[in-house]
Parts: sequence; structure tokens; C-alpha cells
Amino acid sequence: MHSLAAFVFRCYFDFVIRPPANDDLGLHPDPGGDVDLVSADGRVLVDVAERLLSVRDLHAKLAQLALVAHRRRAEAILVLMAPRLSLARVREEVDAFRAVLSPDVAPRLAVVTVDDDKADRLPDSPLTRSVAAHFATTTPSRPGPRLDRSGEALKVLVHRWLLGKGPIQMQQLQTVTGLSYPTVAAQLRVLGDAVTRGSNRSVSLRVLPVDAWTELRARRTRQAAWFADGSGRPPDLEHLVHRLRRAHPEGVALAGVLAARRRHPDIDLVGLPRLDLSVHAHSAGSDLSFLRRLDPALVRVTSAHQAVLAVHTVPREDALFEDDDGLTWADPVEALLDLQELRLDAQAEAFVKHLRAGARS
Amino acid sequence: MSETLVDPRDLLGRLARELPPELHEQVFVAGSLAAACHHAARLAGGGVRTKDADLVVRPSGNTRGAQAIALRLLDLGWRHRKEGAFLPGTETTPADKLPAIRLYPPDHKDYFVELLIVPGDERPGAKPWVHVELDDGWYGLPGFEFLALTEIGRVPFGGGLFYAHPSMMALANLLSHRTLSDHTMSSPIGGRPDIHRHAKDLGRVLALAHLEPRQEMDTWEIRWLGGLRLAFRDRWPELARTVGDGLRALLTDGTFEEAHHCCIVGLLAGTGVSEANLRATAERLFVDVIEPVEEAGRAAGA
Repeated sequence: MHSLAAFVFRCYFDFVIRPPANDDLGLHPDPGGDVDLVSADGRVLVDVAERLLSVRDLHAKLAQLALVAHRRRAEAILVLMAPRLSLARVREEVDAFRAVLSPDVAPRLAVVTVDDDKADRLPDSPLTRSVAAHFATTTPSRPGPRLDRSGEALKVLVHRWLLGKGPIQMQQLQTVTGLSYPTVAAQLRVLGDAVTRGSNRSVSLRVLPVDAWTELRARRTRQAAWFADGSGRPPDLEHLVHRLRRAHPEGVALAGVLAARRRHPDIDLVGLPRLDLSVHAHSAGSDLSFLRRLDPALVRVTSAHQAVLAVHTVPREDALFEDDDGLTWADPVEALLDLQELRLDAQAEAFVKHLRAGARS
Repeated sequence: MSETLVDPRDLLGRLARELPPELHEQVFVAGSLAAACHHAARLAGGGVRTKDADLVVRPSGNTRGAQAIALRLLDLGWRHRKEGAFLPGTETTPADKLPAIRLYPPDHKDYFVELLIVPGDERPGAKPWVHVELDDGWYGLPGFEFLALTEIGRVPFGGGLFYAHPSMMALANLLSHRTLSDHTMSSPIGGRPDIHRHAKDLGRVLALAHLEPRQEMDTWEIRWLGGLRLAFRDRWPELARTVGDGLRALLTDGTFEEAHHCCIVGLLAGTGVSEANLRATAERLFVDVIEPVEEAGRAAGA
């Protein structure tokens, strides 16, 4: 039984937790809870300190980590995310601290500093380079324009908040969003008190952060692609859905009103004002060539008011799409954002209440 | 010709009542009246200005039947529609100089019928008009190369009368104009002289596609392939493979504007459809129907 549990954990670790790029350490949350992350072989411990404000805090972190390194006889690396201290000051304090450690522990203690415009490794070694790369790494770049992922951590948290899925560990949040640790951390900082942090480096949403959500909505609307029926005929949106079901293009999900209605059948909406699609940025459908099969008479327009079809890109690593009834469905957050873009505010509010009620029950 | 709009269903209803019932089985309605009737609910203003009903005599090659139908109608008091230098020909008059058989009902001139005939074989090429002798002389029966397609999948109208399905009329028109030509219409269309025939007929294809709901358009591929196999057992792969050639050429030809003109003075009058709209419709027709049919033709011919 124990070996089965280990096997399951190993699979989970390999396919879910383990970051996909530039990380041969296999860092994952520390089951012992002493530090944030531990390598696959248990020989490397990593603790993360965000926005360290003072030398005193730095000393405290180093002392705590040195103790754990001693007890677990492991390499220990402190990662400083966007510290308020200068690199020179950090280097000076780390050197001084090492000097007072025992010769057994001092060589096994390292510090990596990661920030937008500065980086440092003490000492510079293959191990510290690997850890620095892990925290600086985002998802491997893909062809095409740069994707705006600045709201993805929020969207994933809202997804879990709406569906009552509970907290998510930082590492998993990185995996789902495809963002580096500093980027996720920065996105969470913006959310302020709306985010609840757990003891095991997990985070969850306490309330919907209105300002961040409003900004996310605006940014997403600016990045939408809208299409009208170029034939001049009244659109037949039901038939477009039929076509979508038949073509079933990879990485393309129904969103908007239909996705909302799927989760909340009694939502106060008659008809279909617009067809909304979410397209996973990392899929074959991301070049939108599937639209020609859907309806070659679709023409791109600049105004949402003219649109019969809206396409939004989901840039995160895991689109959180679901397959059901021969169709792929976008997650409720995309549906909610679509409702709000359509100015169906009352329906959007009802949708949130419905999902939250289900989440609590 | 009056400019008053008429409901095509009313017009076809009158024809069904006034045409002797025993003739219904031997003819079907094609052309603009059939198209307008099929899409009556989608026409802007609900009506058309057309007053001519193309009556196609069936089965194929039934010249004697066409003659009998014309004589029967004349016996019942139907009258020749005499226009310009109307004069019946003789047995030796070249077929293309003979007048067509166009007949008004006995009591009014609200519409007239024109008899056509389905050619008796599937050999390629233009079909010469067929000589038909009536009481006062000789007349011509036009028969177009691809008219046989319009007999397939006819739509029942009521009273035993049928009309051609729009998809099959569109297919016949496409195949008739797989290359563009300089041939122009003898009469003005919507006040414009010298409209190219290919622009008029391919414009009709676009008008039919524009009016057809998309879920109905999904049936066109099957209708076309079935019709081609039935009517042109030997030639169908080549016809299928080249079905879109003319329309493709029209989209980049200066006469596309003429096709648009024919649409907006015809079936699409009052809809405000633009050239860009028609091009989008053409693109839809290509993806939904033409390209799959061309592919089937290529596969069968390989």
C-alpha cells in the first residue's frame, strides 16, 4: 500500500507538480513543511522570501534555513524575490553570516536573488544557476505575439473560488498558469487582502477583488477578436455551434452565454446574443484557422457591438477546459467575463451567486 | 410588364390551378419563379416582379410530349405571347431563329409559361433548340446541357405541381459557366444592356446561396453529388471536379459587378446586399459545398 501511494505521488509529481521547463531538480512543495520546496531526491531545500525589507529579516531567514540544512543534511538555498535590499548589501550580509556558521553547514547554504532587473547567485554554481532558472522560467515561448498573462493567477483563483475548490499551492498555481514564481507572486501581491495564504504555501481567494477584476475585464476586452457575418444575412448562431461540434477543433471551447447556461440552466437569458469562444493559446486552434471551417463568411470587425462571434485567448498553461456532450467548454471564469463583456451584469451576478451557492453546499 | 410586386406563391398557385391537372406530372417549374417561391418568406418585400414561369417538360427528350402539352393548352384557349417581330418559323428555319413557346392563360396576362425540354442525352456541349410544329407553324424548344439536374429532387408545391430545388438550379448554372465567356444577354436586365450571360447565371447562384439557410446549405453537397451521379453517370467526376471553376474566375473578374447588379434587381432586390456580402456568400458556398464536391470528383477520377 505504501509503495502504491508512493507510485501515485510520483505520477502526480511527474505530471502535475513538476515544472515543465529547465528544471532538472524536480522541485516540489516540501512535505515536511520546513521549507517551501524540496528537490526530487530530497537533497536540495529551497525557501522563498518575498520582498525582504530588512537585514534583520534576512538574518532570520538565513538562520532558520541553516538549521534545517543541518538537520536534514541537505543543500539549502534561500531565494530572495524582489528584495528591498541592494544586491551589494545582500552579498555583504550573506558573506558575514556564512563566516559564523560551522564549516559543515556554510558550504551548503546559498542565496539566489531574483528580481525583474537584477539577479545574483551566492555562490555561482550549477545548483544555484538551476534554482535561479527555475524561478525565472516561464512556459517555453511559442510562436506568435506575446501573450498577456497578467491576469491568469487571478483567473485561476476565481475559478477555484467559484467552484469551491479550496486553496491551491503556489507551485501548482505556477504549473496551471505557466508563470514563474516571481510573476505569480507579483500578481498575488496586487490582490492584497483578497488573498488568503495558507501555512503550506497555498493561496485562495477570500473575496472577489473588485479593482483587479475590473482591470482584468478591460484588458481582456481589448484583446478580444470580434467577427461579424460578412454575408449580410442574420447570423445563425445555433448552426455555428452545430458546426463547432462537427469540426471539434483542438483547443477551442464554447464560452459565454452557452457555457454559463450549461452550469446554470435557469439563468435569466433568452436566446443567444453572441457566440463566445475561448481558444487555448497553446493549441492548434490558436491561429484561428478553424474559423474558416466554422463559417468562411465571418469577417473581423473592430467593434463588439457588430460582433456575432467573439474569440478570447486563454494564455495559461492549463486552459481548464472540460469536454462534455461532444463539445469542449470553457471554464466558468471565461463565461463570467463574457457575460460582463456583453453587459449582462444581472445575469453575471446571478451566475456568480449560483456557483457560489453550489460551492458552499 | 408591370412593376408591381407579386407573391411568387400566389403566382405559382394560380399556375397550378389553371394548368390542366393531367399535365402536372409532365412538367415542373424552374427558373426565377421556382427560386422565388422556395424563398418567398425571405424575399425583401415578400414579392417578385417576374411574370414568366419556365415549364420544363419531362422526362428527358420528350419532344412529342412538349408538343402535345402546347397543343392542349392552345386548345384550352391559352394564347401565344407575341413580342416584337413574332412569327412562327417553318420546318427549315434554323432552330435558333424559331420563337420559343410562350403562352398566356386564356383569361389574363398576369403570367406566361415558357416550355423547355430536358436534353435526351448527357453528351457534352450546347444543345440546339428542338423544332416543334404547332397549328400555326414551327417553334423552338430550348434544352440546356445541365437542365436534367433540375429534375432531380423536385419540390412539391401543391396540387400535384412541382418546382426545381434551388440547389439543383444553382448546380446547373455553375456547370453551364465553368469558363467565362463574352456572350451577352439580348435584353437589358434591370435597365442595363449587355450584361454577360455568365454574370447573370452565376449571380443567380450567389443569390440562391445567399437566401438559403445554412443548415439547408449543408444538404447541397449530397444533393449535388447524387444528382451528378444520376444525371451524368459517365461524366460526373469531371463535372464535380470543375464545378467551381467559373465562379472562382468570376470573383476576380470585372463582370462580378454585373452579377451583383443582377442580384439586386432580381431575387435580392431590397435586401441591401453589397458586393462584399456576395463575396462572403461565395466563400461560404465554396467551403460548404463546392470544395467537398470538387474533392469527391478528384477522388472518383483518380
